[in-house]
Amino acid sequence: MQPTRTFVTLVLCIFAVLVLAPMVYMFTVPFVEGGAGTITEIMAIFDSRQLSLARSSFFLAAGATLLSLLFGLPFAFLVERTDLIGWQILQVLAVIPLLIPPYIHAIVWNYLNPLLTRWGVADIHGLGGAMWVQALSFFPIVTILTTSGLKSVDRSLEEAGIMTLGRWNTIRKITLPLVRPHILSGAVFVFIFALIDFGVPDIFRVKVYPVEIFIQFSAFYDERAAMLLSLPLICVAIFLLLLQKWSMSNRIYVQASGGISQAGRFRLGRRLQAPAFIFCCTLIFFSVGLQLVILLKMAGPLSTYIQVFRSSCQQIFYSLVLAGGGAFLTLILAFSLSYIVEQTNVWGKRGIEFCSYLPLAIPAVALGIGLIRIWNRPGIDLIYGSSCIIIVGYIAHYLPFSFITLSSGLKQLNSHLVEVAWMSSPSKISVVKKIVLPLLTPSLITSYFIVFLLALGDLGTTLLIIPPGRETLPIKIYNLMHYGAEQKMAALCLILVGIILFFTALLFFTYKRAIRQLSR
Amino acid sequence: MIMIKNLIKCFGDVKALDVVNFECKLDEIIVIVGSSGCGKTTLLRLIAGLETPDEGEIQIEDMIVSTSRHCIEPRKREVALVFQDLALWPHMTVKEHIKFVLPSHGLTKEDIQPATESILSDVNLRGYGNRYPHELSGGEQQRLAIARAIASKPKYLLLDEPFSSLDSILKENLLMLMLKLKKEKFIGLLCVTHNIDEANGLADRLAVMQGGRIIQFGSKEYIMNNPKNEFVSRLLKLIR
Repeated sequence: MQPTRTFVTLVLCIFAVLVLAPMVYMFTVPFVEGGAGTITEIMAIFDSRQLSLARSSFFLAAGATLLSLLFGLPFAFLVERTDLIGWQILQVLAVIPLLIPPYIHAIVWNYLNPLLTRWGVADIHGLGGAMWVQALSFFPIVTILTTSGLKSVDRSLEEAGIMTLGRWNTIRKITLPLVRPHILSGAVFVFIFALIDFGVPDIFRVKVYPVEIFIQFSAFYDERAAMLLSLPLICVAIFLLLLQKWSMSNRIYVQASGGISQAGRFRLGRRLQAPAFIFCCTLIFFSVGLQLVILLKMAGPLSTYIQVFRSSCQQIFYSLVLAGGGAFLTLILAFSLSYIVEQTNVWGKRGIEFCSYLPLAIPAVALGIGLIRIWNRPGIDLIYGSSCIIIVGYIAHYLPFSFITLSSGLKQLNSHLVEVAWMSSPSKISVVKKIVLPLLTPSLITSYFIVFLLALGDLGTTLLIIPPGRETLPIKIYNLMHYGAEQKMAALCLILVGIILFFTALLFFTYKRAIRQLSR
Repeated sequence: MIMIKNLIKCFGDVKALDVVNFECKLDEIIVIVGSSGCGKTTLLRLIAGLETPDEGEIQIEDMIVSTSRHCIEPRKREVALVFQDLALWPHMTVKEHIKFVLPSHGLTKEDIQPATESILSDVNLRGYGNRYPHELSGGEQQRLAIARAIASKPKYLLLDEPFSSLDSILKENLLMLMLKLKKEKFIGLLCVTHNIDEANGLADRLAVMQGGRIIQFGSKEYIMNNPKNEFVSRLLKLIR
């Protein structure tokens, strides 16, 4: 069903202004403002100081990726392909570490550092510590994508393999090659997220690009230097995005349904059941349980929560409204874009698709600077001077998550269901309203909640663009951390985690209900 | 009448339809037979307006509906298509399927209920209005897909492998239903199948397809007595 040309133009214009403009600014302004001297400045990227920055950024991202693969891959196989005890609940729990903002993971491990040093384990302040914490935070990306890949593998291919090759050879020679693109994709995403992450290296005092970009902008007010610094980072991230797009081809990132029942799973047997269960539980403990226990210990008595809650009601409400509004508007734009890409023959739609992934390659801090430069102008300061700029920031930063979820949903939608409606319905709006949207309900719910939860914990983008006198929950946590108010900060972190867990549970139940209704 | 002239459709390097010509009148049943992948479904999709031809034209009644340059929207063509997989909407009840289609044809809210009941009784689905597709048997699902198609009051009904998932008793029932529709509703039926037995039971005229071309087109009796080549002969041997 082809949308009108006016609709396509309108959507692409909104996308260009809200999402692409800050990125285009980042690439062009350093050259326009710097003239011929810019090339010399870019060459300075290769001087020894810059090279050391690049080296630590690369090692951090590579280490976090390797650890995430070590954690996430076996976890995915165990919960998706074996009869591991409690695989259903473990599948859900594996998503939670990703929804807890990385800086909260870092705060907890930072608190544990004196203890770890005393025990002679390691000093967490350094590359190793940052790698460990980022891996605990990002390994669910590998798990989710690998699980999706496993769900999409035709079970009969594996069954044919088991009959001739045996169980483990089937995993090695049939299953693994079939899900390799999903695994590679997960690894690339973790690498990019670790590369552009600001929160963890900032707390662990690791000198990497995002921290330097922030210092250049906020301490030296040198916006151009900040932009120049972000260029190599963005180039590497874009190259990796291209690589993962090539590897995934037209495969589906998020499988809405499928999977295999208890009967079709590999039997772990008595010897493997216990170690596998302990591995999964330990991972969940280190990435979720420990955070909650330590935060509870840090926050102290109940009175702290009451006091913090009373003094933060405004910030909680403000954060919920912004995240809710941002997620809703992101959903509308992402749905329109994914519809254009997946269901129409618009020229250059693969280019549009790739541009929709680009925000994944932009460090949140650099995006914040781009947003300031684009929106801080006379005439449009109504947006920049108000909370609207934060919503614009959320759209610019989180659009890819919504886009990926919705395009996966649209790819899985039986095109005949829409075609038959299109042939008989009085209007296109009626087809979208009564057929497409209800059939896409699980993807819409997931897309909305993912952006909502990520926006609720957002620090990097909000930090630079928050209007004066306003504070979101993460900004208040960040401020409390820098003032050394540890108890209050921990209580507020727990409140944020509590809100996130509440909405995750809501997402889980509404998603399950929607899937049940559609798979009748 | 549906008139198809010199129709060509390619998907990349593959020529799905290679200069196809034929016509289908109101009040007749044409069955297109051929082996899998010969372009039967593509032909139906082109007539329905779901694909655009690379060359040639499609005319429905007096209106040219498809050429390589312009393509009239499917809902304005007065044709309905029953997909092979039926494409029933899982979130809608039987009644809702019909009601979704009805308002486009100038009915008021008061008229919709009796019109829905009338269509459901035409296909023997009266009393099933509040059921969801998954609560229907295979034959009932097939009848719902046909009911939804005729609810849009088409002049031509296009059926893509309508019997493929039915047992022999249900096939017989569906065959009777189609003949009844043709007679009572004065609808032209264009049916695609790879099963020659089904074609024999239903067709007024047969079109035999091979490699994207219609290699023989005419009355059932004529083709059976004068097969054009060995392929047609082998195809028809199965019924003789």
